[in-house]
Amino acid sequence: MTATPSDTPSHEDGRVLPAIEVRDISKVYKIYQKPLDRLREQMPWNNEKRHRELHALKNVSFEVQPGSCVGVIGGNGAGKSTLLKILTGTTFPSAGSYTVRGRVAALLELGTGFQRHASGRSNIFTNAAMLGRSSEETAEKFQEILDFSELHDFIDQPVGTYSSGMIARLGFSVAVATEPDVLIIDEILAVGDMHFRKKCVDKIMSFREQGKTMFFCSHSLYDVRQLCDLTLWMKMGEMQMFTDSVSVTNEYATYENQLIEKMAEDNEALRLSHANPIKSVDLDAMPRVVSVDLVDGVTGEKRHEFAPFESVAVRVHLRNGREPVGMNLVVGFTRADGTLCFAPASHMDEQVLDFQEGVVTLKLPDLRLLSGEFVVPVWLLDDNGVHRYHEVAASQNLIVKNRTKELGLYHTDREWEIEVLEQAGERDGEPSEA
Amino acid sequence: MTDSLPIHEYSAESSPRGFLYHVPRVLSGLLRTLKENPVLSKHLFKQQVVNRFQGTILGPFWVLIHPLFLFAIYFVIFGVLFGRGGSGSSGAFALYLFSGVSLFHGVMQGTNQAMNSVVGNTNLVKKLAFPSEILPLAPVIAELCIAALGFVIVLVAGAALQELPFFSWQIVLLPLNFLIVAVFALGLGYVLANVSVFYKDIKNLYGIASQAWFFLSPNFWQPSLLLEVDETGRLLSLASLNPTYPMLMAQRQIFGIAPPGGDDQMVQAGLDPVGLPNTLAENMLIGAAWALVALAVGYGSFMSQKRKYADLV
Repeated sequence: MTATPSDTPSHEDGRVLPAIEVRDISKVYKIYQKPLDRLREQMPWNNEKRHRELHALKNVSFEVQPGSCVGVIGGNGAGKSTLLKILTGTTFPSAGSYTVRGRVAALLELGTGFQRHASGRSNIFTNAAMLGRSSEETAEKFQEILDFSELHDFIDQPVGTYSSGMIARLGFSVAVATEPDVLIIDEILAVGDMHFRKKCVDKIMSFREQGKTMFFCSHSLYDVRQLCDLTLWMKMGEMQMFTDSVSVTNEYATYENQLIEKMAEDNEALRLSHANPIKSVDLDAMPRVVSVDLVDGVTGEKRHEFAPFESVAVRVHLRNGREPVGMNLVVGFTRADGTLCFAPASHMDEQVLDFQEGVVTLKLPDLRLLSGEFVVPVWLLDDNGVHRYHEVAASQNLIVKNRTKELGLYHTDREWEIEVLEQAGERDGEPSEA
Repeated sequence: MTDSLPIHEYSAESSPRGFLYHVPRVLSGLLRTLKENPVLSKHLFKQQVVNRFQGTILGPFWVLIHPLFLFAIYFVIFGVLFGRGGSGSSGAFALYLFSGVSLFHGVMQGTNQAMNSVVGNTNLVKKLAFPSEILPLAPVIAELCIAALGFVIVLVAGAALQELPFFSWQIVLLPLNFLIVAVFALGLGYVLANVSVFYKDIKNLYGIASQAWFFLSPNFWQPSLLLEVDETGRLLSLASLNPTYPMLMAQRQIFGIAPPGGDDQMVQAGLDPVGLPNTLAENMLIGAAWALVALAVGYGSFMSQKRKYADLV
C-alpha cells in the first residue's frame, strides 16, 4: 500500500470518522486591568474576582468529515481566529474538547519563525522542523519547495533581504510541502503577486481534489463560496449557522448589509446627540424633522425612482420647538461617494418657516441628475442658517435611471457651435476655388 | 493504515496536567522532547550562538574576550585594590576568582536568556504548535558551553603558572560538576521563563537579585573570610545555604585551586572548620540535589502552565 494517510481516513466499524470533531468548546480570556490584579487574585486569601472575562468562543460544536472544505466567516472578534488557533494547537480551549485526525498544517501567518540572517535554504529546514518534519523528509521535498516558491536565485541569500511577498511565497511553499491532511488557512490568499496568488489557489484546489480536509477563514464571501462546500458563520463567539456555503454566505451578506445600515443610523444618532445633546433629553423642546419623503412632483405620490427631467419633490414634515423659533431647511442630494451634488436652502431662497407644525415641499420640476443613487439628507437650521437643530435623511434614496446614454453626474443644457477654419482635404489636393 | 493518522485529542477538563504530574517525568519528558525535535533544538542552539556574535567584527572571539575582560576587572578590583590577593600568590587568587566568576556568569547569562526565551519569542509561541519547553534549553546550554571555554583558559593559565595539579584524578569530575550547574541553571531558567509570562516585573527583580546573588556567592571571597568576620561560623553556614555555594566550591576543589589567604588546608583537604559539609564529594552531592530540585520545580511549573503562554505573551 502506497496510499497516503489522507486516502484512507480512519474507519471504525466501517464508519468514516470525522476529520475534525469539536465538542462544546469555549474559550475565555481573563483580562486584568493591572498586572497587580493578577497577583492579588493568586493570593490564597483572595476570594474576590479581579478580572474581566472575555468569551471568545461559546459552546461551539461541530464535525467535519474528511475531504470537506469548510469556510469560516464572521465579523472581527467573532472568534474565527481563536477557533483556527485552537484547531492548530497554538492555543487551548477553556472548556470542551476536540479531536483532529491527521497532520495539521496551519497557514496562519506565512513565514512565522523565519530567521532573518539565515539563508532561505536553511530556513526551509528549520521552518519545516517547526511544522514537525524531520531533516530527511524536508531534504526529499526540498526541490519541490524550491520549485514552487520560484526563489531559485535567492535561496542562498539571507531571508532578511527578501521582500514580504517572497517571504510569504517561501512560507506557503514550506507549509504545503509538509503534506498535511488538514489544512488550516487564515486569510492568506491576499499575499504575493497575482501570479503567485493564482498558484496558491491552484494548490489549495488540488488539496481539495485530493480529498484533504480544509478549514478556510476569509472575509471574502466570494472566495468562501467558490472554495468551500460548507461554511461556518461565527458571531460573537457563537456558531450562528453551519450548513452549505451558498445558504450561509447569502444569510451573512444580508445580515452584514443590515448591520451596515444600522451602523450608519447609529453613527448619525451619535453624531447628532453630540452636536446637540439637549435633543436626546427632550425631543420636543427643539424644532425637529418628523419625516422626509420623496414624492412625485406632479401626483404627490411617494416614489423614489425617477428618470431625468421628471418632477421630483421632497416633502419634509417639520415641528417647531415648544417655544417656536424661526427655522431654515436645507435639502441635499449626495451621491454614494459622498459628493454633495446640490443643496437648495430655504434661507437663500428667502423662505420663512416659523409655523408650529407643517409640511414643506421642495419641488424640482425638471430633475437634472443622471443615473445613480443619491442620499437625500435634510438639515433643519436656526433662523441664521448656522446652528443645526436636526439632521435626517430621506426614508429612501433617490434613484435616477437614464433613458438615454448620457454620461456624467447631471444634465446641463448645451449648444454646440462649429466654426470651420480649414476644410478637410484642402491641403492635399488643389484648393477648391470658389 | 488506520493508525497512520496522527490524532490530536484535547479536552479542557482533563488535559492541563498539573505540576505534580510533570515533576517525576522531568528527565524522560525532556529527553523525549529533544529526541523528537532534533532539527528544532539544533536550530535554536545555533541561533543562540549566532545571535550573540552576529554582525560583530570579532565574532566568536568574544567568547574568549568577554570572560577574560570580566576576569581582569574582578582581579583588579578585588585582587589588587582590595588586596584579597593577600598572602597567597596573586596568580592563585586570579585562578580562584576566574573559575568562580566565569561559571557564575554562565549561570547568570543562561538563566537571564532562558527567562526571556518565552516572552521574547512571541511569534513562535503564539503562532506555532511546537513544544515550548525547548525554548529555555538553548540559552542555558549555549551560555554554559561558552563558560566551559573559560575553563579551558583556566587550565591553560594554570598550566602556565604551574598552580594546578592537573594530573589529579579529580579533573574527570569537571564535566559532571558542569552538568550539575547546567541542570540547576535550566531549572531556574524554567521557573523564571514561566513567571515572566505572567509577571513582567520578574525581569527587573531578577536583575537586582542576581547582583546581590553575585556577592552572596563565593565568587571573590573565600569561606575563610566569613570565618574571620564571624568566628562562630554562623555566617558561613548561612552563606552555604546558597545553591551556588557548593557548586562553586566543588569547581575549585576539582581544579585543586588553593585559596590564598593562608587557608589552604581548608579547601585542599576538604577540612571543615564549622561542621559544614565541605569535601568535594559532599559539595557535589549537595549541588546535584539543588540541581534536581530546581529542575523538577522549574519543569513542573513550566509544563503545567505552558498552555496559557500563547494567550499571554
